[in-house]
Amino acid sequence: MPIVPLGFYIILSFVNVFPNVDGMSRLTFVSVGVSVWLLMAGLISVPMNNLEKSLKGLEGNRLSVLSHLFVGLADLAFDTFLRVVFVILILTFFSPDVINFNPLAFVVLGLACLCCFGVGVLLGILNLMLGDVSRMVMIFLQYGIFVSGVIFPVSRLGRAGEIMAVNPLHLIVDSIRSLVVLGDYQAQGGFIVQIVLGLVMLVWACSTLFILKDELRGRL
Amino acid sequence: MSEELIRVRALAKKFSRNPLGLQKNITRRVFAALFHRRLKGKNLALEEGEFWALKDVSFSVRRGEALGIIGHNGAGKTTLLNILSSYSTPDNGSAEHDGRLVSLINLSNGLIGTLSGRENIYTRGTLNGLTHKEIAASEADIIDFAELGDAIDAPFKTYSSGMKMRLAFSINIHSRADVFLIDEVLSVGDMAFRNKCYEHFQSLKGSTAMILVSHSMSDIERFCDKAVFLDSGQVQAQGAPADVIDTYQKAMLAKKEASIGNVKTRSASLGSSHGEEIEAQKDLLKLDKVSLNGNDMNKASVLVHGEKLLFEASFWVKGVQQDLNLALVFYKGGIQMFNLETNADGFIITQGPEVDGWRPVILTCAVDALPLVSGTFTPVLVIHDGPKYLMRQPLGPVAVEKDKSYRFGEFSVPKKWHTS
Repeated sequence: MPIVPLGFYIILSFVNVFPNVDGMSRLTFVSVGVSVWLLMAGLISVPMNNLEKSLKGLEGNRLSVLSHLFVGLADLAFDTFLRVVFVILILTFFSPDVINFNPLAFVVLGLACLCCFGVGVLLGILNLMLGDVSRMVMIFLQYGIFVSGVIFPVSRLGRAGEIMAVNPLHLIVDSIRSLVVLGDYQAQGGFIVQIVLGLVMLVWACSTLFILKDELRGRL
Repeated sequence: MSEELIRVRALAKKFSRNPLGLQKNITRRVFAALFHRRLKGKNLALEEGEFWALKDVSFSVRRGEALGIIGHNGAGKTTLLNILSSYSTPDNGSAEHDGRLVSLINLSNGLIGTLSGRENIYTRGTLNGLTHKEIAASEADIIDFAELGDAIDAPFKTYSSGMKMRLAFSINIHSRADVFLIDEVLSVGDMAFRNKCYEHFQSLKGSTAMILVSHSMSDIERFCDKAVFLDSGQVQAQGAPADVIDTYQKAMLAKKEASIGNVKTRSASLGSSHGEEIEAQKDLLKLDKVSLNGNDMNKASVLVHGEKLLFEASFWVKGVQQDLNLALVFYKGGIQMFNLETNADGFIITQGPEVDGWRPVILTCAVDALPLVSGTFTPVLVIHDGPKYLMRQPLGPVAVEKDKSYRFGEFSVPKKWHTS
C-alpha cells in the first residue's frame, strides 16, 4: 500500500504525462520528489491527527505522550523504508541519470524531518482548540503536491509558481532532491530561515506538549 | 514508625457535564500552555456545568497499612485512584507516592489479544516497571497463581473472561510493588480465587501500602486498617473501618429516607408491579391505623434486616364478615417476597362489639427477625372477606437495610448451627 501513490506517479512519468525538467529525467524528478513529499506530509499529519488520541491514551497508563506518537511514526518509518527501496530499484533499472548522492542530504533531511514533526505537533495542539485545523491541513497536503514543485517544476506554474516558490515544503523537497540526485546544494537563504524557524517551532511544540500532557491528562 | 508511602494533600478535581464548558476548559488550558503557563491550582472557581469530583481530600498511608475507600457510586473513589495512578491530574493539591505503584483499576490494560498469555506476562510486566530478569523470576508464580496451566501459551484472545482476569490480576500482584491500588477488582473470579487473592494481599500487607476501593463493607472491615468515606468528592469520615462504615451506613440510610418518597412516585408512574389495586370499599371498611414498629405505614419507613418486626392494624368493618382475612404482602420488582397473612397462618380474626353497625378489628403480628435482607419493598395491604376484596392498596415504601453481617440473597432467616 505505501508504494501505490508513488507507483502511480512513476507510471505517469513513464508515459510522459509530466514535463521535462532541467538537469534530471522526469522519472528521477518525480520519484524522489514524491518520496520526500510523502515523508514530510506524513511527519506533519501523523502527530497532528494522533495527538488528541495520544493524550486520551494517557488516561489508562503512565506512558509518555511521545511514546504514543512514536507508534504512528514507526508506521511512517516502515512505509518510507519501502518507498526508498522501491525508488532505488526504479532508478537503478530505469533512470538514465547518474546519481551523485551527497551525504549532506542526510543532515538536511534530518533537519527537515524535525521541522515537519514540530509543525505537525503544533498543528495537533491547535487542533485541540479548533477541530477544523487538521481537516484544512489535510486538504493542503492532499492537493499541495501539485503546486509544490514535487511533480511539476514551480517554474512551469507561471505567476502562481512565484508564490509557491516560497512554499516551505517546496523548499524542502527541492533542496533534498538536488542533494540526492545532483549532489549539489545552493544554500537558499529562505530554506535556512525556514529550518531555523522550524526548529524553534519544534522546541515550542514539544515544550507545550510537555505542559499539556499533565494539564489535559484525564480531561479529553 | 514505618515510612509514609502515599500522601494525598488537599486534592481537588473538577469535571464538566457541559460539552461546551469542557471544550472551553480545554481551549483555555491549551492557550495557556502555548505560552508556557500552567492552570493547575489557578482556577478553582466552578463554572457552569462543572462540579467537584474531589474536593479537599487529604490522607496518608504508611507501609504495612491498608486503607479502604467507601462511598456510593459517583462519590469520587475511582477518580481518586486515577489521580494516584497518574492517569489523571488534579486541579489542586497533590497525590504523591514513593516506590513502585501498581494499579488494579482496569485490569486488561496493556494485555494484547494476539499475544500468548506468556508473552503478555512480559508485556504487562514491563509496563509495570519490571525488568526482563525480574519478570522471568516471577513467571512460574504468575502462571501458577492464575491457574492457567498449558493455556498460558495460547493466544490471550482465546481465553475466557475469567482466565483473562486471573492472568491480569496475577501479573499485577507479582509486580513487586510498594503501593497497590485496588478498585473493586477483588470481585474477579470465583470465591476460591477471590480468597486466594485476599490471602496473597494479606501476605504482602506488611511490606506494602494498599488502597482498596470496595462496596463490600465486610471486605473493608476485615482487610483494611483504616477507611475513608467519600461523598460528593469530599471526605465525610476517616478512621477505624468499623466507625467509618457505621457513618457511611447512617448517611446512606438518611439519603434513602430522603429519596424514598421518589420511589413511591416512580412505582406509581410505572404502573402496578404489585397486582391490582382496589380502593377501600368505604361502605364496608374504614381503616384506622396500619403501622410497622410503630411507624405509620402510609409513610415511607426504614427497617434493618434481622430486627424485630411488629405489624399493627386497626380498622372497622360493616356488620359481621364471615371469612375476614388480612394480608400484608411485600413486593419487590413485581415479585411477592414476603407475606404476613392471617389465612395462611390459620389465624381467625375476631371482630369487636358492634357500634352503629360497625365492628372494630385490632390485629397485631410479631416477627422475631425480619428475613428480608435488603432493598426497597412495596407493601400491599389486602383485606378480604372470602373471595370479596374490601381493599387492596399499596402503602408507603419500606427500605430494608443490611445489618452488619456478611449476607447475600434476598431472604435470610435465623439459624442455629451445631458442630460435633
